Amino acid sequence: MRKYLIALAVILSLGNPVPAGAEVVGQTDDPLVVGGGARPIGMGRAFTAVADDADAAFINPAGIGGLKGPTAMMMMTNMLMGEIYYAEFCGAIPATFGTLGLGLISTGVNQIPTDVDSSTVYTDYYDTLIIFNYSTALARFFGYGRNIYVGANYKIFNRGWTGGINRFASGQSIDLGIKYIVTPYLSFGLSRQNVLPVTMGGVLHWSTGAEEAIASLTKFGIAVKPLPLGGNVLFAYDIDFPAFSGRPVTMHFGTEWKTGQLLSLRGGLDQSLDAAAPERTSWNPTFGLSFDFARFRLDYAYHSYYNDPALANNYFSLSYQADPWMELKGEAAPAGESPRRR
Amino acid sequence: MIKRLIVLIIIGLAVFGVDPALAVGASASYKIAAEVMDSGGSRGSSASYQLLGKTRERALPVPGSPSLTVGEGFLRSVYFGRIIFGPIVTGIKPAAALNSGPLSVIITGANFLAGAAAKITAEDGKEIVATKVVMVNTGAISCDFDLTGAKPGSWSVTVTNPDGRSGTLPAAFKIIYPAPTVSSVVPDKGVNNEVATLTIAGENFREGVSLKLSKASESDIMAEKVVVVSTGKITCSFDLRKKTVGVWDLKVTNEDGQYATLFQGFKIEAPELEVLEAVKNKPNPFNPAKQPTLISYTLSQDYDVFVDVFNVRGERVWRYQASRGTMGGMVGQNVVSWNGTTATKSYASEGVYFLYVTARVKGAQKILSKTKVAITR
Repeated sequence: MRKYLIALAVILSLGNPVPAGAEVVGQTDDPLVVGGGARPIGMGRAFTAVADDADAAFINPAGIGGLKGPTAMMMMTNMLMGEIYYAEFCGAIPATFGTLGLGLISTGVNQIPTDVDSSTVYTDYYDTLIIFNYSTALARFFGYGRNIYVGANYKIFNRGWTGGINRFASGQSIDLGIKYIVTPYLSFGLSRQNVLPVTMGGVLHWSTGAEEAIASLTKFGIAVKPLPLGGNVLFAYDIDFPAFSGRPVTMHFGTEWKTGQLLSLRGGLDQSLDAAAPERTSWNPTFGLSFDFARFRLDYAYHSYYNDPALANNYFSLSYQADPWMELKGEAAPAGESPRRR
Repeated sequence: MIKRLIVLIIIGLAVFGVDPALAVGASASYKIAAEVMDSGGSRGSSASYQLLGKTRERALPVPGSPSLTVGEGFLRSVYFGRIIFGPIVTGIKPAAALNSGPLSVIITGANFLAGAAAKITAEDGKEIVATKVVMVNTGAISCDFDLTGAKPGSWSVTVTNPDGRSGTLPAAFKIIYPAPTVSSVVPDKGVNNEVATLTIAGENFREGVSLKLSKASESDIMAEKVVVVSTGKITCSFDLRKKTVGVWDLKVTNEDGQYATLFQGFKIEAPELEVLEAVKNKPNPFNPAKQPTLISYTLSQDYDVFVDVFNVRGERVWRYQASRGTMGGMVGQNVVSWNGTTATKSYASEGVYFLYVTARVKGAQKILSKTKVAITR
């Protein structure tokens, strides 16, 4: 197993997932740009070092390694004033050999007025992502690293058009992640999305023969729970380094305040791509809250866009977390761990 | 014998109705008692005369002929003779002039004699006598008229020869006021749900002036409550309700028919900024590597407008900013091209994009129109 882990580490360290000269027509993005439930979104998507929910796979695949019981989450929303439907489902089950996760993102757009043979025909567009996730503590393979989790996603992309335009695409890629819990009050996270090189199949193949590379992204995050605040307030910071996609570097700030057993409040700043800004990015405030009841948690997030209230989105997600059912290696409580598990 | 033959010929011609005067040009040695009553009027196409105590009418073989040979009687050849007509006036150049200062004119016609006099006469009988009359030839006279303060309207032109005969061309000359000019209209735009009150500045406005707004393919909008404040200022109102938005010409017409037009001088706008024709793009889908897509929409007024493109992740990947009155932000149809490049400095990937036409209205960003753009590679 060690050699596989070392191989993963090598891939993780790869600098260029798109070799020069690849026969691709361009780069396409990943639904994970939106990914994560209402909790990460309410924190401005600063979640790489927090990643302690079932939806961690959408941001840092190493995050589910710390889960102690089965967990599931679902989120459904509409973006851009209802133009885009977006749904995601995920679940994770700890096992003796590590934690297994499964995720699904289904998004798309209906009623696109396309020109076909000089008449307008309405076309639908769909974009689906299936994620198979595995994570465990490094200590499973080495004599050290009880508080270091590593994880990987294997992702299958499916996209296409139906109606006026009829074509489809499929592809695959890999995400790799590390989460290092230094103390219960400090953790680091590193996640590399879509690291599979084009030559190894990390590409989206269209039925027309065109190929698009899948944009790669490296996320680095820090999560801190300042002791003077009693450990009830979490601060998180992420920085995203896109690779060869032309996207600018973006940052994310988030905070979460656990007011008690039932209610948590969140806020954040999410730096997003913005063609209208001179720096090509703009800062979008977010806030959110969650209610815990029994084994369920209802999260809400509000994400503004470009100071335009009409474009702001509301996100609701529902999580379920079963009681811990096994002891795992690497048990240190991570910074930002969901309240119920502490 | 010869005398008998001649008499028989003459009798024969008379019996068979041939006018020997026209046929053979009889000698003027015969005595004739003819008096010209009229020289043929303005056209010089006929003449009336008195012969043997009867008034007779005869068409002139050539209009404006200076003379006519006539013959009458049972034996027409007995009464041959030539009669001389008076002057005939057929025109004046220029035919119109402002009522300010002296004006040199050329009067054309026939039978003008040296020493002829000329005058123009208004409908009310007021006369202006010509000065510096010079006979250029029998068909033309040059002279001056002092038109200062003369009443605008139609005037007849009369030429009188030294023998007392005269010819008159009625309503041949027109005295006019100066034409109006328009320099500005305030305000220069209005919305099509109101009655707009305008102030027009210019020159030579006169009582009885009319104003209208004109636009191709549209019915004219006539001004109401027109008040000529001064020769340089008019106030009036236009009912703009339900009128077509766009630029209109303002036309000011004095009572004498003279007018001035301020082209595209007035703009009619919708009450609020609207997209009158929803945004659309062609072709759709399009391949950025091969051709751009043309985005078109119609605005109700000039405005600062943004055209934004969002991707399916909700990110704004392209923006076109159009200033008021320029392509993209002007009243009427606008066409903007998007070549598919994005903020990532590369062509957009295959997928669906959202195109919004937005503007800042009353302090808030407002989406005026939107559509979906498909990109295929």
